[in-house]
Amino acid sequence: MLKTLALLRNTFFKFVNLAIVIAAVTGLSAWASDRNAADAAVQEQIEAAEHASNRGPYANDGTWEGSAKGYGGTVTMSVTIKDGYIESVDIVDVSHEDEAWLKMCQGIPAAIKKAQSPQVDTVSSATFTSTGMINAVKKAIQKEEAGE
Amino acid sequence: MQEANNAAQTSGALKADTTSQASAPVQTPSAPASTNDSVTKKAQPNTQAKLGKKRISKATQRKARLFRHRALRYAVQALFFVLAPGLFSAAFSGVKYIAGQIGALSPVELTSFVLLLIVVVGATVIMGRFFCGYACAFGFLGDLVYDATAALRHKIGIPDLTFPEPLVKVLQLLKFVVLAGICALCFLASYSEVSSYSPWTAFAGIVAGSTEGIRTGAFALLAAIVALMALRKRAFCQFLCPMGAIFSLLPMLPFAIRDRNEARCPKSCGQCRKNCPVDIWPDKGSLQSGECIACGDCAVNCPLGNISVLRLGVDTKTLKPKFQISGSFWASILVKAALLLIGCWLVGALRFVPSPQDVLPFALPWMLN
Repeated sequence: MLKTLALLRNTFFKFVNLAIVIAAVTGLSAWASDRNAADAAVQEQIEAAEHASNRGPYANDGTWEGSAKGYGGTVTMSVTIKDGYIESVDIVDVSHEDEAWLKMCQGIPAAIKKAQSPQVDTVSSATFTSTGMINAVKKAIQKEEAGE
Repeated sequence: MQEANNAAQTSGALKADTTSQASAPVQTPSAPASTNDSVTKKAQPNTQAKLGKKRISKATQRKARLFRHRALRYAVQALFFVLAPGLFSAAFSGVKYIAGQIGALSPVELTSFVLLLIVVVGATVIMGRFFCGYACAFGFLGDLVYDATAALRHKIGIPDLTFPEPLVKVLQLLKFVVLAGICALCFLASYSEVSSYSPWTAFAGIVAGSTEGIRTGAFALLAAIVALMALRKRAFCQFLCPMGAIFSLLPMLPFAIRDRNEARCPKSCGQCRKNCPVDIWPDKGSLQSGECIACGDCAVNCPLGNISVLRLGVDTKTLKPKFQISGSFWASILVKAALLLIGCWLVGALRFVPSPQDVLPFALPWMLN
Protein backbone atom coordinates (compact mmCIF):
# COMPACT_ATOMS: atom_id res chain seq x y z
CA MET A 1 0.00 0.00 0.00
CA LEU A 2 2.75 2.39 1.02
CA LYS A 3 4.71 1.41 -2.05
CA THR A 4 1.78 2.10 -4.32
CA LEU A 5 1.27 5.52 -2.77
CA ALA A 6 4.95 6.33 -3.18
CA LEU A 7 4.78 5.13 -6.76
CA LEU A 8 1.75 7.28 -7.52
CA ARG A 9 3.36 10.34 -5.95
CA ASN A 10 6.63 9.85 -7.85
CA THR A 11 4.83 9.20 -11.12
CA PHE A 12 2.74 12.34 -10.63
CA PHE A 13 5.78 14.54 -10.13
CA LYS A 14 7.63 13.02 -13.07
CA PHE A 15 4.55 13.55 -15.21
CA VAL A 16 4.26 17.19 -14.20
CA ASN A 17 7.97 17.65 -14.91
CA LEU A 18 7.62 16.18 -18.40
CA ALA A 19 4.49 18.26 -19.10
CA ILE A 20 6.30 21.46 -18.13
CA VAL A 21 9.26 20.67 -20.40
CA ILE A 22 7.01 19.87 -23.35
CA ALA A 23 4.88 22.99 -22.81
CA ALA A 24 7.94 25.22 -22.58
CA VAL A 25 9.57 23.81 -25.72
CA THR A 26 6.36 23.95 -27.74
CA GLY A 27 5.51 27.48 -26.61
CA LEU A 28 8.95 28.88 -27.33
CA SER A 29 9.02 27.11 -30.67
CA ALA A 30 5.70 28.60 -31.77
CA TRP A 31 6.83 32.10 -30.84
CA ALA A 32 10.17 31.66 -32.63
CA SER A 33 8.45 30.31 -35.70
CA ASP A 34 6.30 33.40 -36.12
CA ARG A 35 9.27 35.67 -35.66
CA ASN A 36 11.30 33.75 -38.25
CA ALA A 37 8.61 33.88 -40.93
CA ALA A 38 8.67 37.68 -40.90
CA ASP A 39 12.48 37.83 -41.12
CA ALA A 40 12.65 35.35 -43.99
CA ALA A 41 10.33 37.34 -46.21
CA VAL A 42 12.47 40.46 -45.88
CA GLN A 43 15.68 38.52 -46.58
CA GLU A 44 14.32 37.10 -49.80
CA GLN A 45 13.49 40.51 -51.17
CA ILE A 46 16.99 41.82 -50.47
CA GLU A 47 18.60 38.83 -52.19
CA ALA A 48 16.41 39.05 -55.26
CA ALA A 49 17.33 42.71 -55.72
CA GLU A 50 21.05 41.98 -55.46
CA HIS A 51 21.01 39.07 -57.88
CA ALA A 52 19.15 41.15 -60.45
CA SER A 53 21.90 43.76 -60.65
CA ASN A 54 25.24 41.87 -60.30
CA ARG A 55 26.66 38.69 -61.85
CA GLY A 56 27.54 36.05 -59.25
CA PRO A 57 30.92 34.47 -58.36
CA TYR A 58 30.61 31.33 -60.51
CA ALA A 59 32.13 31.64 -63.97
CA ASN A 60 30.03 29.19 -65.96
CA ASP A 61 26.27 28.81 -66.17
CA GLY A 62 24.69 25.38 -66.54
CA THR A 63 23.99 22.16 -64.61
CA TRP A 64 26.63 19.79 -63.27
CA GLU A 65 26.47 16.52 -61.34
CA GLY A 66 28.88 15.21 -58.74
CA SER A 67 29.13 12.02 -56.65
CA ALA A 68 30.67 11.20 -53.29
CA LYS A 69 30.56 8.51 -50.61
CA GLY A 70 27.60 8.67 -48.24
CA TYR A 71 26.71 6.22 -45.47
CA GLY A 72 25.33 3.25 -47.38
CA GLY A 73 26.80 3.95 -50.81
CA THR A 74 27.30 6.71 -53.36
CA VAL A 75 25.37 9.96 -53.23
CA THR A 76 24.85 11.98 -56.41
CA MET A 77 23.80 15.64 -56.41
CA SER A 78 23.41 18.24 -59.12
CA VAL A 79 23.90 22.00 -58.99
CA THR A 80 22.49 24.57 -61.42
CA ILE A 81 24.27 27.88 -61.90
CA LYS A 82 22.45 30.86 -63.43
CA ASP A 83 23.85 34.36 -63.83
CA GLY A 84 26.83 33.17 -61.77
CA TYR A 85 24.67 32.33 -58.74
CA ILE A 86 23.67 28.89 -57.44
CA GLU A 87 20.09 28.68 -58.70
CA SER A 88 19.29 25.26 -57.30
CA VAL A 89 20.84 22.19 -55.72
CA ASP A 90 19.08 18.91 -56.44
CA ILE A 91 19.29 15.36 -55.25
CA VAL A 92 19.93 12.92 -58.06
CA ASP A 93 20.54 9.67 -56.20
CA VAL A 94 20.54 9.01 -52.45
CA SER A 95 19.00 5.57 -52.61
CA HIS A 96 21.65 3.99 -50.38
CA GLU A 97 20.99 6.30 -47.45
CA ASP A 98 18.70 5.41 -44.55
CA GLU A 99 15.40 7.24 -44.51
CA ALA A 100 15.44 8.93 -41.11
CA TRP A 101 19.01 10.14 -41.58
CA LEU A 102 18.27 11.36 -45.10
CA LYS A 103 15.33 13.37 -43.84
CA MET A 104 17.64 15.09 -41.38
CA CYS A 105 19.69 16.28 -44.37
CA GLN A 106 16.87 17.59 -46.48
CA GLY A 107 17.79 21.15 -45.54
CA ILE A 108 21.24 20.87 -47.09
CA PRO A 109 20.32 21.83 -50.68
CA ALA A 110 18.56 24.96 -49.40
CA ALA A 111 21.45 25.74 -47.06
CA ILE A 112 23.95 25.51 -49.91
CA LYS A 113 21.80 27.79 -52.04
CA LYS A 114 21.46 30.26 -49.19
CA ALA A 115 25.20 30.27 -48.52
CA GLN A 116 25.89 30.30 -52.26
CA SER A 117 28.59 27.75 -51.48
CA PRO A 118 28.86 24.07 -50.52
CA GLN A 119 30.82 25.12 -47.39
CA VAL A 120 27.90 24.43 -45.06
CA ASP A 121 27.81 22.58 -41.72
CA THR A 122 27.26 18.86 -41.71
CA VAL A 123 24.30 17.52 -39.78
CA SER A 124 25.42 16.06 -36.48
CA SER A 125 24.54 12.37 -36.16
CA ALA A 126 23.82 12.23 -39.88
CA THR A 127 27.45 13.01 -40.53
CA PHE A 128 28.07 10.48 -43.27
CA THR A 129 24.96 11.25 -45.28
CA SER A 130 25.34 15.01 -45.00
CA THR A 131 29.08 14.88 -45.78
CA GLY A 132 28.27 12.77 -48.83
CA MET A 133 25.76 15.28 -50.10
CA ILE A 134 28.07 18.23 -49.47
CA ASN A 135 31.06 16.54 -51.12
CA ALA A 136 28.92 15.55 -54.08
CA VAL A 137 27.99 19.21 -54.60
CA LYS A 138 31.67 20.19 -54.21
CA LYS A 139 32.58 17.72 -56.97
CA ALA A 140 29.86 19.20 -59.16
CA ILE A 141 31.22 22.72 -58.58
CA GLN A 142 34.72 21.51 -59.45
CA LYS A 143 33.37 20.36 -62.79
CA GLU A 144 31.75 23.75 -63.26
CA GLU A 145 35.05 25.51 -62.56
CA ALA A 146 36.80 23.27 -65.06
CA GLY A 147 34.10 24.20 -67.54
CA GLU A 148 33.35 20.55 -68.35
CA MET B 1 8.43 -26.74 -21.52
CA GLN B 2 7.44 -24.13 -19.00
CA GLU B 3 4.78 -26.34 -17.52
CA ALA B 4 7.40 -28.96 -16.86
CA ASN B 5 9.69 -26.50 -15.17
CA ASN B 6 6.90 -25.10 -13.07
CA ALA B 7 5.99 -28.53 -11.94
CA ALA B 8 9.40 -29.98 -11.26
CA GLN B 9 10.24 -29.44 -7.61
CA THR B 10 13.08 -30.74 -5.58
CA SER B 11 11.51 -30.51 -2.15
CA GLY B 12 9.71 -33.77 -1.81
CA ALA B 13 7.49 -32.46 0.98
CA LEU B 14 5.49 -30.51 -1.53
CA LYS B 15 2.26 -32.01 -2.66
CA ALA B 16 -0.58 -30.18 -4.28
CA ASP B 17 -4.14 -31.13 -3.69
CA THR B 18 -5.74 -29.75 -6.77
CA THR B 19 -9.27 -30.65 -5.83
CA SER B 20 -9.47 -28.66 -2.62
CA GLN B 21 -7.26 -25.76 -3.66
CA ALA B 22 -8.53 -25.13 -7.10
CA SER B 23 -8.46 -21.38 -6.85
CA ALA B 24 -5.58 -20.78 -4.48
CA PRO B 25 -1.85 -20.88 -5.07
CA VAL B 26 -0.51 -24.32 -4.58
CA GLN B 27 2.57 -24.15 -2.45
CA THR B 28 2.70 -23.76 1.30
CA PRO B 29 4.90 -20.89 2.53
CA SER B 30 7.65 -23.11 3.87
CA ALA B 31 8.53 -24.69 0.56
CA PRO B 32 9.63 -22.30 -2.15
CA ALA B 33 8.95 -23.33 -5.69
CA SER B 34 10.42 -22.03 -8.90
CA THR B 35 7.63 -20.45 -10.84
CA ASN B 36 9.70 -17.78 -12.47
CA ASP B 37 9.18 -18.36 -16.06
CA SER B 38 5.83 -16.92 -16.83
CA VAL B 39 2.41 -16.17 -15.57
CA THR B 40 1.65 -18.18 -12.44
CA LYS B 41 -1.31 -20.33 -13.23
CA LYS B 42 -4.00 -21.03 -10.70
CA ALA B 43 -3.54 -24.69 -9.86
CA GLN B 44 -0.48 -26.72 -10.64
CA PRO B 45 -0.48 -30.48 -10.57
CA ASN B 46 2.64 -31.85 -8.96
CA THR B 47 3.87 -33.93 -11.85
CA GLN B 48 7.42 -35.11 -12.08
CA ALA B 49 9.66 -33.40 -14.56
CA LYS B 50 9.09 -34.87 -17.94
CA LEU B 51 12.53 -36.43 -18.26
CA GLY B 52 11.40 -39.82 -17.17
CA LYS B 53 11.73 -40.49 -13.44
CA LYS B 54 14.85 -38.34 -12.99
CA ARG B 55 14.24 -35.07 -11.13
CA ILE B 56 15.91 -31.93 -12.37
CA SER B 57 17.76 -30.13 -9.60
CA LYS B 58 16.88 -26.57 -8.78
CA ALA B 59 20.34 -25.39 -9.68
CA THR B 60 20.06 -26.90 -13.12
CA GLN B 61 16.60 -25.42 -13.60
CA ARG B 62 17.92 -22.04 -12.58
CA LYS B 63 20.85 -22.25 -15.00
CA ALA B 64 18.49 -23.25 -17.79
CA ARG B 65 16.21 -20.33 -16.97
CA LEU B 66 19.10 -17.88 -16.91
CA PHE B 67 20.45 -19.21 -20.18
CA ARG B 68 17.08 -18.98 -21.93
CA HIS B 69 16.46 -15.47 -20.70
CA ARG B 70 19.91 -14.29 -21.69
CA ALA B 71 19.60 -15.95 -25.08
CA LEU B 72 16.28 -14.21 -25.70
CA ARG B 73 17.73 -10.89 -24.62
CA TYR B 74 20.81 -11.25 -26.84
CA ALA B 75 18.58 -12.24 -29.76
CA VAL B 76 16.46 -9.10 -29.37
CA GLN B 77 19.56 -6.94 -28.89
CA ALA B 78 21.12 -8.41 -32.02
CA LEU B 79 17.94 -7.73 -34.00
CA PHE B 80 17.91 -4.09 -32.96
CA PHE B 81 21.62 -3.85 -33.71
CA VAL B 82 21.09 -5.01 -37.27
CA LEU B 83 17.96 -2.96 -37.92
CA ALA B 84 18.82 0.23 -36.07
CA PRO B 85 22.33 0.50 -34.58
CA GLY B 86 22.15 4.29 -34.43
CA LEU B 87 18.91 4.61 -32.45
CA PHE B 88 20.43 5.85 -29.21
CA SER B 89 22.58 8.39 -30.98
CA ALA B 90 19.78 9.65 -33.22
CA ALA B 91 17.36 10.02 -30.31
CA PHE B 92 19.93 12.00 -28.34
CA SER B 93 20.63 14.13 -31.39
CA GLY B 94 16.98 15.10 -31.20
CA VAL B 95 17.65 16.30 -27.65
CA LYS B 96 20.73 18.28 -28.70
CA TYR B 97 18.82 19.82 -31.61
CA ILE B 98 16.02 20.94 -29.28
CA ALA B 99 18.52 22.46 -26.84
CA GLY B 100 20.27 24.25 -29.69
CA GLN B 101 17.08 25.63 -31.18
CA ILE B 102 15.84 26.88 -27.82
CA GLY B 103 19.16 28.57 -27.24
CA ALA B 104 19.00 30.22 -30.65
CA LEU B 105 15.35 31.20 -30.08
CA SER B 106 14.54 29.21 -33.21
CA PRO B 107 11.52 27.00 -33.76
CA VAL B 108 11.84 23.30 -32.95
CA GLU B 109 10.73 21.46 -36.04
CA LEU B 110 9.57 17.85 -36.10
CA THR B 111 12.74 16.56 -37.70
CA SER B 112 13.09 12.81 -38.04
CA PHE B 113 15.41 12.75 -35.01
CA VAL B 114 12.85 14.60 -32.94
CA LEU B 115 10.18 12.15 -34.08
CA LEU B 116 12.45 9.27 -33.12
CA LEU B 117 13.02 10.89 -29.72
CA ILE B 118 9.26 11.05 -29.26
CA VAL B 119 8.93 7.35 -30.18
CA VAL B 120 11.65 6.31 -27.77
CA VAL B 121 10.39 8.52 -24.94
CA GLY B 122 6.82 7.32 -25.54
CA ALA B 123 7.98 3.71 -25.48
CA THR B 124 9.76 4.33 -22.18
CA VAL B 125 6.70 5.91 -20.59
CA ILE B 126 4.68 2.85 -21.62
CA MET B 127 7.11 0.03 -20.97
CA GLY B 128 9.91 1.42 -18.83
CA ARG B 129 13.52 1.47 -20.03
CA PHE B 130 13.07 -1.49 -22.34
CA PHE B 131 15.07 0.52 -24.85
CA CYS B 132 18.10 0.46 -22.57
CA GLY B 133 17.93 -3.22 -21.79
CA TYR B 134 17.07 -4.53 -25.24
CA ALA B 135 17.37 -2.00 -28.07
CA CYS B 136 20.37 0.19 -27.37
CA ALA B 137 23.39 -0.81 -29.45
CA PHE B 138 25.75 0.77 -26.95
CA GLY B 139 24.23 -1.24 -24.10
CA PHE B 140 24.51 -4.32 -26.30
CA LEU B 141 28.20 -3.57 -26.76
CA GLY B 142 28.59 -3.27 -23.00
CA ASP B 143 26.82 -6.55 -22.35
CA LEU B 144 28.90 -8.37 -24.96
CA VAL B 145 32.14 -7.00 -23.64
CA TYR B 146 31.30 -7.90 -20.04
CA ASP B 147 29.98 -11.38 -20.76
CA ALA B 148 32.91 -12.19 -23.02
CA THR B 149 35.56 -11.21 -20.51
CA ALA B 150 34.07 -11.62 -17.01
CA ALA B 151 34.48 -15.38 -16.61
CA LEU B 152 38.07 -15.33 -17.78
CA ARG B 153 38.86 -12.28 -15.74
CA HIS B 154 37.45 -13.81 -12.56
CA LYS B 155 39.51 -16.93 -13.18
CA ILE B 156 42.72 -14.95 -13.29
CA GLY B 157 41.70 -13.14 -10.15
CA ILE B 158 40.59 -9.71 -11.36
CA PRO B 159 37.26 -8.99 -9.68
CA ASP B 160 34.53 -6.69 -10.96
CA LEU B 161 34.90 -3.02 -10.25
CA THR B 162 32.70 -2.39 -7.23
CA PHE B 163 31.91 0.72 -5.24
CA PRO B 164 30.33 1.09 -1.81
CA GLU B 165 26.61 1.72 -2.06
CA PRO B 166 26.61 5.42 -1.04
CA LEU B 167 29.24 6.12 -3.69
CA VAL B 168 27.17 4.28 -6.28
CA LYS B 169 24.22 6.55 -5.55
CA VAL B 170 26.40 9.61 -6.09
CA LEU B 171 27.96 8.25 -9.27
CA GLN B 172 24.50 7.58 -10.67
CA LEU B 173 23.95 11.32 -10.59
CA LEU B 174 26.97 11.92 -12.85
CA LYS B 175 24.89 11.22 -15.93
CA PHE B 176 22.71 14.20 -15.12
CA VAL B 177 25.84 16.33 -15.09
CA VAL B 178 26.80 14.94 -18.51
CA LEU B 179 23.29 15.65 -19.81
CA ALA B 180 23.19 19.17 -18.40
CA GLY B 181 26.66 19.90 -19.74
CA ILE B 182 25.94 18.78 -23.28
CA CYS B 183 22.56 20.54 -23.34
CA ALA B 184 24.13 23.74 -22.03
CA LEU B 185 26.80 23.64 -24.75
CA CYS B 186 24.17 23.06 -27.42
CA PHE B 187 22.09 25.87 -25.96
CA LEU B 188 25.06 28.19 -26.26
CA ALA B 189 25.86 26.88 -29.76
CA SER B 190 29.30 25.86 -28.48
CA TYR B 191 28.97 22.12 -28.81
CA SER B 192 30.77 21.36 -32.07
CA GLU B 193 34.29 21.29 -30.59
CA VAL B 194 33.35 18.94 -27.77
CA SER B 195 31.20 16.78 -30.03
CA SER B 196 34.20 15.74 -32.10
CA TYR B 197 35.40 13.84 -29.02
CA SER B 198 32.13 11.98 -28.56
CA PRO B 199 32.66 8.24 -28.06
CA TRP B 200 29.30 7.68 -29.77
CA THR B 201 30.69 9.24 -32.93
CA ALA B 202 33.64 6.84 -32.78
CA PHE B 203 31.27 3.91 -32.23
CA ALA B 204 29.08 4.98 -35.15
CA GLY B 205 32.16 5.21 -37.33
CA ILE B 206 33.24 1.69 -36.47
CA VAL B 207 29.77 0.31 -37.12
CA ALA B 208 29.60 2.17 -40.43
CA GLY B 209 33.04 0.94 -41.40
CA SER B 210 34.19 4.48 -42.04
CA THR B 211 36.44 6.04 -39.45
CA GLU B 212 38.13 8.81 -41.39
CA GLY B 213 37.71 12.28 -40.01
CA ILE B 214 36.97 11.03 -36.49
CA ARG B 215 39.37 12.21 -33.85
CA THR B 216 41.71 9.78 -32.10
CA GLY B 217 40.49 11.29 -28.82
CA ALA B 218 37.00 9.99 -29.54
CA PHE B 219 38.35 6.46 -30.04
CA ALA B 220 40.41 6.75 -26.87
CA LEU B 221 37.31 7.75 -24.93
CA LEU B 222 35.37 4.88 -26.49
CA ALA B 223 38.12 2.44 -25.52
CA ALA B 224 38.10 3.72 -21.94
CA ILE B 225 34.33 3.29 -21.72
CA VAL B 226 34.49 -0.22 -23.20
CA ALA B 227 37.17 -1.14 -20.66
CA LEU B 228 34.98 0.24 -17.88
CA MET B 229 32.03 -1.83 -19.07
CA ALA B 230 34.22 -4.93 -19.20
CA LEU B 231 34.98 -4.44 -15.52
CA ARG B 232 31.49 -3.55 -14.40
CA LYS B 233 28.18 -4.36 -16.01
CA ARG B 234 26.60 -1.47 -17.87
CA ALA B 235 28.83 1.08 -16.13
CA PHE B 236 28.31 3.64 -18.90
CA CYS B 237 24.55 3.29 -18.74
CA GLN B 238 24.46 3.64 -15.00
CA PHE B 239 26.94 6.49 -14.54
CA LEU B 240 27.42 8.39 -17.80
CA CYS B 241 24.64 8.01 -20.35
CA PRO B 242 22.85 11.30 -20.97
CA MET B 243 19.95 9.55 -22.72
CA GLY B 244 19.63 7.29 -19.68
CA ALA B 245 19.49 10.39 -17.51
CA ILE B 246 16.48 11.59 -19.48
CA PHE B 247 14.82 8.18 -19.32
CA SER B 248 15.23 7.95 -15.57
CA LEU B 249 13.24 11.16 -15.14
CA LEU B 250 10.27 9.97 -17.18
CA PRO B 251 6.97 8.91 -15.63
CA MET B 252 6.35 5.24 -16.30
CA LEU B 253 3.09 3.34 -16.34
CA PRO B 254 2.68 1.26 -13.18
CA PHE B 255 2.94 -2.14 -14.84
CA ALA B 256 6.21 -1.18 -16.45
CA ILE B 257 8.05 -1.23 -13.12
CA ARG B 258 9.49 -4.33 -11.54
CA ASP B 259 8.61 -4.82 -7.91
CA ARG B 260 9.34 -7.57 -5.41
CA ASN B 261 6.80 -9.08 -3.13
CA GLU B 262 8.87 -8.08 -0.12
CA ALA B 263 6.78 -9.93 2.42
CA ARG B 264 7.82 -13.21 0.80
CA CYS B 265 11.52 -12.44 0.55
CA PRO B 266 13.79 -14.56 2.75
CA LYS B 267 15.86 -12.31 4.99
CA SER B 268 19.36 -12.66 3.63
CA CYS B 269 18.69 -13.39 -0.02
CA GLY B 270 19.29 -10.25 -2.08
CA GLN B 271 19.80 -12.21 -5.29
CA CYS B 272 17.87 -9.60 -7.23
CA ARG B 273 20.07 -6.77 -6.01
CA LYS B 274 23.27 -8.78 -6.47
CA ASN B 275 22.46 -9.52 -10.09
CA CYS B 276 21.16 -6.08 -10.97
CA PRO B 277 23.50 -4.30 -13.43
CA VAL B 278 22.45 -0.93 -12.06
CA ASP B 279 22.51 -1.80 -8.37
CA ILE B 280 18.92 -1.28 -7.36
CA TRP B 281 16.30 -3.26 -5.51
CA PRO B 282 13.17 -3.95 -7.58
CA ASP B 283 10.95 -1.49 -5.72
CA LYS B 284 8.16 0.35 -7.46
CA GLY B 285 7.83 2.91 -4.70
CA SER B 286 11.43 4.07 -4.92
CA LEU B 287 12.73 6.91 -7.07
CA GLN B 288 15.61 4.57 -7.90
CA SER B 289 13.25 2.57 -10.10
CA GLY B 290 14.12 5.17 -12.74
CA GLU B 291 17.57 3.54 -12.91
CA CYS B 292 16.10 0.17 -13.93
CA ILE B 293 17.11 -0.82 -17.47
CA ALA B 294 14.38 -3.50 -17.64
CA CYS B 295 16.81 -6.33 -18.34
CA GLY B 296 14.82 -8.77 -16.18
CA ASP B 297 17.90 -10.28 -14.53
CA CYS B 298 16.37 -9.72 -11.09
CA ALA B 299 13.27 -11.74 -11.92
CA VAL B 300 15.21 -14.55 -13.58
CA ASN B 301 17.55 -14.93 -10.62
CA CYS B 302 14.90 -14.75 -7.91
CA PRO B 303 14.62 -18.20 -6.30
CA LEU B 304 10.98 -17.58 -5.40
CA GLY B 305 9.69 -16.03 -8.60
CA ASN B 306 8.92 -13.08 -6.44
CA ILE B 307 9.52 -10.25 -8.87
CA SER B 308 6.75 -9.08 -11.12
CA VAL B 309 5.45 -6.10 -13.01
CA LEU B 310 1.89 -6.90 -12.11
CA ARG B 311 0.63 -8.76 -9.08
CA LEU B 312 -3.00 -9.39 -8.17
CA GLY B 313 -4.89 -11.09 -5.42
CA VAL B 314 -2.11 -11.61 -2.89
CA ASP B 315 -3.27 -14.22 -0.40
CA THR B 316 -2.73 -12.92 3.13
CA LYS B 317 -1.63 -16.29 4.48
CA THR B 318 0.56 -17.75 1.79
CA LEU B 319 1.58 -14.29 0.51
CA LYS B 320 1.42 -15.62 -3.02
CA PRO B 321 -0.50 -13.74 -5.69
CA LYS B 322 -3.38 -15.29 -7.59
CA PHE B 323 -2.03 -13.80 -10.76
CA GLN B 324 1.25 -12.19 -11.65
CA ILE B 325 3.25 -11.29 -14.70
CA SER B 326 6.88 -12.05 -14.00
CA GLY B 327 9.54 -9.39 -14.46
CA SER B 328 11.17 -11.55 -17.12
CA PHE B 329 8.14 -12.97 -18.96
CA TRP B 330 9.36 -13.88 -22.43
CA ALA B 331 6.12 -13.02 -24.21
CA SER B 332 6.05 -9.51 -22.79
CA ILE B 333 9.63 -9.04 -24.02
CA LEU B 334 8.61 -9.98 -27.56
CA VAL B 335 5.55 -7.74 -27.48
CA LYS B 336 7.59 -4.77 -26.26
CA ALA B 337 10.25 -5.39 -28.90
CA ALA B 338 7.57 -5.51 -31.60
CA LEU B 339 5.96 -2.27 -30.42
CA LEU B 340 9.27 -0.43 -30.32
CA LEU B 341 10.26 -1.75 -33.74
CA ILE B 342 6.96 -0.63 -35.23
CA GLY B 343 7.37 2.83 -33.71
CA CYS B 344 10.90 3.15 -35.10
CA TRP B 345 9.77 1.85 -38.48
CA LEU B 346 6.99 4.44 -38.71
CA VAL B 347 9.51 7.27 -38.37
CA GLY B 348 11.87 5.76 -40.92
CA ALA B 349 14.58 4.65 -38.51
CA LEU B 350 14.92 0.99 -39.51
CA ARG B 351 17.40 -0.25 -42.08
CA PHE B 352 16.85 -3.09 -44.53
CA VAL B 353 13.07 -2.99 -44.35
CA PRO B 354 10.75 -1.29 -46.84
CA SER B 355 9.87 2.22 -45.76
CA PRO B 356 6.34 2.90 -44.46
CA GLN B 357 5.50 5.02 -47.51
CA ASP B 358 6.06 2.02 -49.76
CA VAL B 359 3.98 -0.29 -47.62
CA LEU B 360 1.12 1.69 -46.14
CA PRO B 361 -1.87 2.65 -48.29
CA PHE B 362 -2.13 5.99 -46.49
CA ALA B 363 0.39 8.76 -45.95
CA LEU B 364 1.83 9.42 -42.52
CA PRO B 365 1.59 13.12 -41.68
CA TRP B 366 5.27 13.47 -40.78
CA MET B 367 6.40 11.83 -43.99
CA LEU B 368 4.63 14.31 -46.21
CA ASN B 369 7.51 16.68 -46.94
